[in-house]
Amino acid sequence: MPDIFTDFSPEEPVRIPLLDSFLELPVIIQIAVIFIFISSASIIFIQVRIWFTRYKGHLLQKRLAVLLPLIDGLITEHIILRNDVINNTTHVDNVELDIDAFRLRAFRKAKNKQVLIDRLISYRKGFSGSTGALLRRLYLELDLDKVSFKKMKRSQWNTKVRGIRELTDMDISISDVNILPLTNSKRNELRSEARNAYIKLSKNEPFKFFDISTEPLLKWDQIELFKTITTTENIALPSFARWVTYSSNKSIVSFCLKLIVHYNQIDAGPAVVKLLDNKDHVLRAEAINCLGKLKYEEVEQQLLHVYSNQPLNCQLEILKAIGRMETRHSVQFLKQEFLYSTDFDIRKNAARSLVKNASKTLIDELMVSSSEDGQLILKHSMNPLIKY
Amino acid sequence: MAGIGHWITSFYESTVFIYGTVLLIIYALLGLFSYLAIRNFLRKETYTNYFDLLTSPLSPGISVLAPAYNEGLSIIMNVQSLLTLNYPTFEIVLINDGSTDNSMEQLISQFELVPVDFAYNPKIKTQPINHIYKSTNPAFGKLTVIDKVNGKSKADAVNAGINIASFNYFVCTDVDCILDKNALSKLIKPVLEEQKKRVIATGATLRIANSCEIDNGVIIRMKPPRNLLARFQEMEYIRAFVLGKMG
Repeated sequence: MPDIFTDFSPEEPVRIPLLDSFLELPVIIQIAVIFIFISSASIIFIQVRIWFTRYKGHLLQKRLAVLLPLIDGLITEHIILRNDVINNTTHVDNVELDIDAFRLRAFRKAKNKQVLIDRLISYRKGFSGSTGALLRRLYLELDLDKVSFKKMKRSQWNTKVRGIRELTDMDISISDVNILPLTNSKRNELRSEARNAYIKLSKNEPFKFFDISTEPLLKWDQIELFKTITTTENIALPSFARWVTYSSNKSIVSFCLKLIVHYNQIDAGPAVVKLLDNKDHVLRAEAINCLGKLKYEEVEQQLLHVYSNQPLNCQLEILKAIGRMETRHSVQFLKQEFLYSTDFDIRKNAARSLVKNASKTLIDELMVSSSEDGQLILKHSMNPLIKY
Repeated sequence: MAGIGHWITSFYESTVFIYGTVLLIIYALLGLFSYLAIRNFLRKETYTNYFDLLTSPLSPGISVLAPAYNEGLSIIMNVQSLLTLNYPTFEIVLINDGSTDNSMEQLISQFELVPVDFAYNPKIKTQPINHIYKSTNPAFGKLTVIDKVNGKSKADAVNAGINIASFNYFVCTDVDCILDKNALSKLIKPVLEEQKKRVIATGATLRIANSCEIDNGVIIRMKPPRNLLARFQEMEYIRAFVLGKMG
């Protein structure tokens, strides 16, 4: 048996000529060589990556060039141009749908299936009524909802969001057990998507997540939710005063105040008035703003009463609210604030409310009696060309 | 003497070497962080619907402050471009910083401007304002023009704009800059989606408009500049905005 360790001696390490000559170089040169090597490798890696990404994009375009006309043709033939659907002669559930025409080999691959889902969603967004309902039926009968549900169960937030969005766009119900926990997710994008989906899909209590929400409703989320709430058809609108009274989540209260204004829920007035005792001055200002926009006249005297104890932002909101209510009961108060306040914003807002509430005689009188600054503020407030 | 010369040479070499090495490491790290930030940003962008913001009554108002000094050649086209921005609540505050050309006359005639009695609180001291103009044409209702004494700096003009701005958020630009149609939505988004900290300023990527296809103040197609020097500047912009700021 040959001894493989014959030539091996622990005292004599294996010599690599290139490494040896590298190690003989001064340290500075060694560092420079390492840097050159890393930089070159990085540039090659980045360049290859760019080529790869472009190649992937090119392949996708090629695939889409084949798939999209195919999908469009199938949808047009089997869904859109159906006479029974166009004429509404048969109910969507009873329409004979040629599912086999869509069960093509090409759609077995996950990537191609995704193209089909995206295309169906795109068509569904463009068609309402029977055609839209038939597209939804097709999505369900092709078991594409299972693909979307699978995405919802994945761990990556972006895949989850994609799944939820697909189900929402196709109007597929998601059970509370699956969606409600996501409405409180730490990941903002996921939380926001889940909340939108819940409002859109929940038939009985679309605002249930308001009760359990501990995470704040960001302003961006509020804008998205507002859009969802105000554009979803047949949504069961509750009285938002419920959360104004009981919710401990300030952002939910703030959002509900905006919804109360939008839906002009005058009944919510007493609940909003209670917020005037809230310690948070931002919330207080929002409540005053809400009362003003609701023209809730019952609170006018209370607003005047608390005015002097409020910070500037609340005082400005009170002045605006009085202007909006247009009761003409507080003209004297507005006049006093306009004439004697030392704060420019208070004077300007008082003037704007005066212009809305006071008689022309009083305005003329003020124009004569007030200082040069006061006259300028009044002229500014009366000029229809100046909006703000 | 030779010893000192040798010492100076080696000191110079090592200083340059250390400086270069540190610079390379910083750029490599910036590149890495920038890559991660951009990847994260793009992933988020996929799920962002700016249309909600454009149609929402909850969108905060934004004042666009555009100082101009002797921009007579392009001022009309640029103001028209600013007026076409996609955003629900905004105003354009154009500050004519004592132009000596006919900018102001052009603005008055093109946008049907009239001087108004505008009350404002001069929180920041600036050179005096001669007049503030508003348009009598409702189509240009979002436009306010300030005609002021030249303050010898852009800052002075911007400060005058801040003093009369109607909204809490303002965008500082130049009247000769072309803003992307959706620039305001994109700039305000980080402010609206911050939950713990308070975002007080956001920035955007700057590109060079030379050689781009522009139609009526709107960029139709982006192209790199044909001029070599401008290309270097474009590279510098990309380094500064994509690498530096994102990283």
